[in-house]
Amino acid sequence: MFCNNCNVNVKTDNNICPLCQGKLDENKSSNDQINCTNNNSREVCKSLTMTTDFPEHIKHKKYISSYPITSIFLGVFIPIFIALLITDIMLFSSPTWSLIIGSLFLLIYITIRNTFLSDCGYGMRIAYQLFALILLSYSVQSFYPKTEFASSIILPILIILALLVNSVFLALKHINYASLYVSSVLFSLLSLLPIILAASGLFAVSIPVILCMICGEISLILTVGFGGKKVLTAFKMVFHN
Amino acid sequence: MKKDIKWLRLDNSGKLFPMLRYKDNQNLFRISVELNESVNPELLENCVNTTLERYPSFKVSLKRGAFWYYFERNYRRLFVLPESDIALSLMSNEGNNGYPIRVTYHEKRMNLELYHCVADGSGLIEFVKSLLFVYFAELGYTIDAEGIILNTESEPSESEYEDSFLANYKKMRIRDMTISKMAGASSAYRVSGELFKDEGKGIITGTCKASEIIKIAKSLSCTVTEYLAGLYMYSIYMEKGRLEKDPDNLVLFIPINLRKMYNSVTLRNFTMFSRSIVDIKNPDILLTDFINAVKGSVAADLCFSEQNKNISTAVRAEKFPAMRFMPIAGKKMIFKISNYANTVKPTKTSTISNLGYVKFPESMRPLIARVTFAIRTSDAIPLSMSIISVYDDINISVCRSIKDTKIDRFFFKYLADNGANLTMTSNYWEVENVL
Repeated sequence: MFCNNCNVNVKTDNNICPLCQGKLDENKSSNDQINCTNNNSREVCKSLTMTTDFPEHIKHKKYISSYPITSIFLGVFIPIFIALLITDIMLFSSPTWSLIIGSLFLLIYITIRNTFLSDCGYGMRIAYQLFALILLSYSVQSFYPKTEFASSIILPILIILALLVNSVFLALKHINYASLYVSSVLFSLLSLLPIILAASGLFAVSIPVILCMICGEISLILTVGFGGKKVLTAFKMVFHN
Repeated sequence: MKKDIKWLRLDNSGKLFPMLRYKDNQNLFRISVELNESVNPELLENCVNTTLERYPSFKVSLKRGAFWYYFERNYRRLFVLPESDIALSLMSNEGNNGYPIRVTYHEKRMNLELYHCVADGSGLIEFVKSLLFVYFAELGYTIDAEGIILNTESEPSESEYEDSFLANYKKMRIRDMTISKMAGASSAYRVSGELFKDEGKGIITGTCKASEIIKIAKSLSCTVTEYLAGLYMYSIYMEKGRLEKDPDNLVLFIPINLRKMYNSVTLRNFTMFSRSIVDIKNPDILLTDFINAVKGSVAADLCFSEQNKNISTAVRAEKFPAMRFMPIAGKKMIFKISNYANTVKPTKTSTISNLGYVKFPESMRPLIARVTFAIRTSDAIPLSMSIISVYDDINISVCRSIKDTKIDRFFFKYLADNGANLTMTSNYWEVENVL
């Protein structure tokens, strides 16, 4: 068909010029202008623009990126947290409950932003979760100043859990293997942290601390044993510069 | 047995694209091939996966490292999907089995969409040629490769997946770097218009005989790229720029393929940009003024010593210790800030990319109806033009994020009025969005 307004041929099975939105004519006669912005001509336009040359148009929602989540976190959660922290400091001698709320906020943010919407590897996602949970446990511990459960129980248990989840991903899915090999080695090294802290006298050595160290070493041996050269390649890939 | 490449570093310019991804801004482009018969999706999928084995830099998934992104060999199958109504929709790192390439089909058309971090248009067109060769052979046609198609049976050479920027890097002092020239110091005129409400893009393609455009360009003593780039700038000026009060300079980016200049056969990115700048505050600017601006900038950028400087600047910037050892999260943060600044005040008005004349075997001529090329636009830079010439035809596509088709209309009408017998196609996204 031909558009007299634009002086071009239009290859389409509908009746509208893509350039001027004028009605096309097979006989090269004058075009009528169709006003598709007018709601009255909605059905007319829709029937005219139906084309089999391209897939049928479906109503789509605007793309929502992870950006609003960061904005919400920065714009809503952080001011609330600061207000709570100030209230907490004014009411009590030491800030406690505001830190718990703050770390809960952070945990929610990390879970949504860095677990579901990030392009990080699985190992990194586990590390983010681990960090937020450790922060939360230390915040809870500040409620009970005479106890050390965050260091002696929760920290090693969380590291064991991170090692387990990482190993399950590595063994079952084998996805993003470089990142998982690297995180496996790094979590294994991290598993030595509770025992080092305990040995330096910060808290008493507990069963979870010893278990954490053992799990970490087993994980390291298994990763290096089964991974072999792949572990070295994984480190090269992730840390290449 | 083909060499199993476990991983690849991104090339110098490819490294930027994942960092530059911001909101709905992703550097994607598409090559569509319209055949003379319906596409067989199952066969196409098998052929795509066969072809991918020959192209190790395409058979990858993009992964995030500690300092830079990298490509990991992807052992999974690439699925061929029905074409979405949204042209050049965003690609996630994990969707599509982790491939930064998407192959879709609709009736007689197959589309190959690629994330720019993998390759540029010249790289993708080689992949398309190999894919078509395998596809037609599987359909039972006898195709002669004529020495212009990479055989899927052959072993990929290292030079095909080398980083040609790095290969041609010559040591340079910091004070000799041309960063401000490459990044663009001043803000550019931004094409105004109501954006589409959704992720979709409007793509209008005009096809005519290449000889018709060559004739028009010759009459003005310029090349096809110079003429079309000049006319494109003129269209923006006539339909938008001149109607605005105190507009910024009109800045057009024109990618320059460096392969011929440096004898490179890389299938990855190896292009630099030429920036054509015109001050549109002056009244009554003529088409020839725009063409002359393009001619001047392209001639300056085709200079070997100039490109040596640009390549060395790009590589040197990557090698800065602060850049090298900054964790990827820090780099992304910096790029996010610069992206935000670019969204508010972009340093370019638009991009025009001409893949040039792409030689396909003569034996494929009866099987291919048309080959088109399109570049994804963003909300900040809502217009792009892409050109490809195959056999006797030249295909010019305008991709838009805005509903308004005035610039497209001016451009194509001008060509038609000057002797080009154009045939237009469109995905009619603007009409659907208006409804």
